[in-house]
Amino acid sequence: MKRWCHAILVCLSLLTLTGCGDQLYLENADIPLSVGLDMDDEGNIIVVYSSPVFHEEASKKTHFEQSTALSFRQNRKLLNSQSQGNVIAGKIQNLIISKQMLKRINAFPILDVIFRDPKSEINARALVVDGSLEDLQNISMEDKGRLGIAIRDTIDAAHQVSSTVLTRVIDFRGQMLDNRVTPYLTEMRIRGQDYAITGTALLNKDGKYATSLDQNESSLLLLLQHQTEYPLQLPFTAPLQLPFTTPPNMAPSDPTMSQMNVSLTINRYKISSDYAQGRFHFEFQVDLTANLSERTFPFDMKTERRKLEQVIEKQLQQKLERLIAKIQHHRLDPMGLGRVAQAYHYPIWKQVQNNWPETLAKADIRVTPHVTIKSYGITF
Amino acid sequence: MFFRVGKTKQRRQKQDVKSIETSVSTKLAENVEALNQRFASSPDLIIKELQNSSGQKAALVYLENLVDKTAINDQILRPLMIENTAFDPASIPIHKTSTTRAMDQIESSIFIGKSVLLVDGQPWAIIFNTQGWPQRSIKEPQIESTLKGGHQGLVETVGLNIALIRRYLPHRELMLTKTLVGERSQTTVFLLYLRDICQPELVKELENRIDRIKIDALINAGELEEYLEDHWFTVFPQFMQTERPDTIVSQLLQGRIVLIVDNSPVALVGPMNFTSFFQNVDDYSLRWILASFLRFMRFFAFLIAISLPAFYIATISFNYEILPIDLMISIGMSRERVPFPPLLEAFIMEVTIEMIREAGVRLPSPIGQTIGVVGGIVIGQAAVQAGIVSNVMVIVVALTAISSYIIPNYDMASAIRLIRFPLMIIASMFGMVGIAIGMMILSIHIVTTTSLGYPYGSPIAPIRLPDWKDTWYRLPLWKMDKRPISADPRQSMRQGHSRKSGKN
Repeated sequence: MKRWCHAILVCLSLLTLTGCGDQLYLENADIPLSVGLDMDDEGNIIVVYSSPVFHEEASKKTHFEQSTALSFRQNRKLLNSQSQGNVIAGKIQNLIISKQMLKRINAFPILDVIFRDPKSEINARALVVDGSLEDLQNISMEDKGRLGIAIRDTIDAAHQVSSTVLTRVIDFRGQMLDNRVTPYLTEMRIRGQDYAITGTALLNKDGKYATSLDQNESSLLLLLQHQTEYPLQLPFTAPLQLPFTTPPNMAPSDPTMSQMNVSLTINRYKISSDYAQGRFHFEFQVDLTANLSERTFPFDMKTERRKLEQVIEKQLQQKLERLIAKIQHHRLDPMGLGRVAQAYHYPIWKQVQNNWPETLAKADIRVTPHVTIKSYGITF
Repeated sequence: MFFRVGKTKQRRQKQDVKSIETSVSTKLAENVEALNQRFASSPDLIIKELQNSSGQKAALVYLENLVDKTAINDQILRPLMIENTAFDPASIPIHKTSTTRAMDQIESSIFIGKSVLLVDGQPWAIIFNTQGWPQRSIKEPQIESTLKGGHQGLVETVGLNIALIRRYLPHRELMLTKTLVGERSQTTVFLLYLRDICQPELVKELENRIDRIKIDALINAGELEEYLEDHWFTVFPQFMQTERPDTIVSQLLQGRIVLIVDNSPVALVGPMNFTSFFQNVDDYSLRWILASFLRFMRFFAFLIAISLPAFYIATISFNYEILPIDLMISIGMSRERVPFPPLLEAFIMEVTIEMIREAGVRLPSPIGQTIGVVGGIVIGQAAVQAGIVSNVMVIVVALTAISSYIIPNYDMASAIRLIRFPLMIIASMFGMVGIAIGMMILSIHIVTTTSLGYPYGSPIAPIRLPDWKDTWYRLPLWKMDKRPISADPRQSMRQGHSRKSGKN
């Protein structure tokens, strides 16, 4: 009997525990899938979010809320008072940061609440958007489904064909806090009722917008970063000196008749480094396997393959060096060469670590790609 | 109050003492009168008066429907009345006869279907074993049907059941101990064990427990289980109830004890452990790889059956972060129409499906099918369309129900179906933490339970690795030369080492 009394007492006291307090049913929650950050002229933070609508009666599947306050969390309070449910940060798919805002301030401190609250989603894709965030609402979703998911899927698909980098919010945090690398984010453009991934936005060490890379440059950046998850898709143009014959009705100078596309996979990737005469020297030695996916000119692959490989190597080297020059010009290091410097030249790194991008800008960086064409399909 | 109970007990004992004293009188009329008094309101009592050629009178007494009438007519009445045989047990062609002087024994013999010949002038009576009662033919077991195992199930007659078991085990070490349980019913209970495998202490312990039972009547073997088990406050069966002779034999060979109760088509097997309820006779006649897969599936189904509704509740009340976004949206859309909190929604569905199941069990099979169709349409379609439950809940409930039926043992499956309700409540209160705590309590409960003093959690806790060969998976039979140690057999080796395969 005494035992039963104890058991009942325990059950009753369990019922009063605070554990029951944070219960929130899924259908009562407002779950933003896309969250956008912008800044108004007075320097207030504008937060825009889109979340799915579960109501059957509602004609729209997605609803938008917008608020302006001095911080993210203050905005959430405002947003809570506008939405039907409790706003939950646990399922954010994209964190969209406006380019205008990044040009003015460092957005990283604003994101503090995302990393402080253990329930918020740190796997959301971080991206920079070129255009007003209010345009997010205008994107036509009739043929796309839900905005947050559609943008996420577009980013993933673009990353798979190496058109852009894939930076999650937690990666962005790492890039901001690590002084061996500068941040790089997916860049998206909103134009009218449509959106498209345009490439990669590079941020400098202060967290401000520095420059953008287009899709091909993004592929090259992925190559330099030793991204091996997906093959890198790159276009090349055949020079006229190549020993190939054009069909008679086509002028040899026609640009559509000298295109080729290859998808490259990295076989061997090595960075050799040196420090001499007050500057760093880096050399990327990359062995690549190429699959010829498109070639619009006739060419005898069996006998002349090496020539084509050399053309690709040469153009690849030029493109990469141009990209590196651009990066150095903007005082950036999205390749993470700071890691190499720290690993192999620690005493010098100790001196330069606080202005690493400046040091890298003076460094001599070379790339020697070696390309082997493994497959070229049916030839003519 | 206690005082009064004590008094009635004393009075009853006195009566017993008095009745033992009555013995058979030499006068037939007195005996018949005494029997008529004892069977005062039994119109089925037949007293057949006889007289042989020498004028000696006798009376054959029996209960009409409990005897084999052919035997009475041909083997007793015919010799006595036509062939004028003497009233003597040796000259009557009945396979088993005995004599007695006690009136009580005559009475109890008549009640179990024997016939009694009272002879005038003799102070004893002859008892003939002429039992013959309505009996069911041997049928396929209903709740433990198999694909490849034997298709004979136990019946309500204990003698026939023992015959079924002896057919599998014609061996002298198979011991049978007979005890009677029930003051009124005097039900025969047979204790079966293999003397050279089973621990004698275990047999003694079980015999003691049976002796301590003081009840009016024992109707089913399941009733016996409640009087013999170690723990009363648990959902888990501590004995296995089976109606399959092949299961019984395989458990006997592992050193377990089997109890067969007269009038009951199920036998009790003990001591059991938790994991042995996941084994099935068919496992040993399937390919071992397939049988191992089935074993894995059963343990997986066990987890699903106890925790899936709880997991659903916890997920959509607390931890939606763990859902993939697309699933979350579709759950959200179907949940939006439901006016109840997830716990109530889950309870409505789970209770409904339990009711459909229970209704199906009690109904004859043609109507039972109707229940299935009605239940399926009502739950699967109408309830969702009416917005009482969500689509996902229907899937959860269906999956849970199917999972619980994969467990081969009916009692264990029922236990598992019950466990999910407390887990659902705790999940709605504390989310994932609640499920974790619930699982911990469940594990502690299984580990601390015993069956006839043997650990119920064996071979998982305490860990008995050799037994794992036949627990999570089933290795080839030639790997299992030793008996499982969970039931602590005296003789550990089965019969020497088997060859790896039939070759050589």
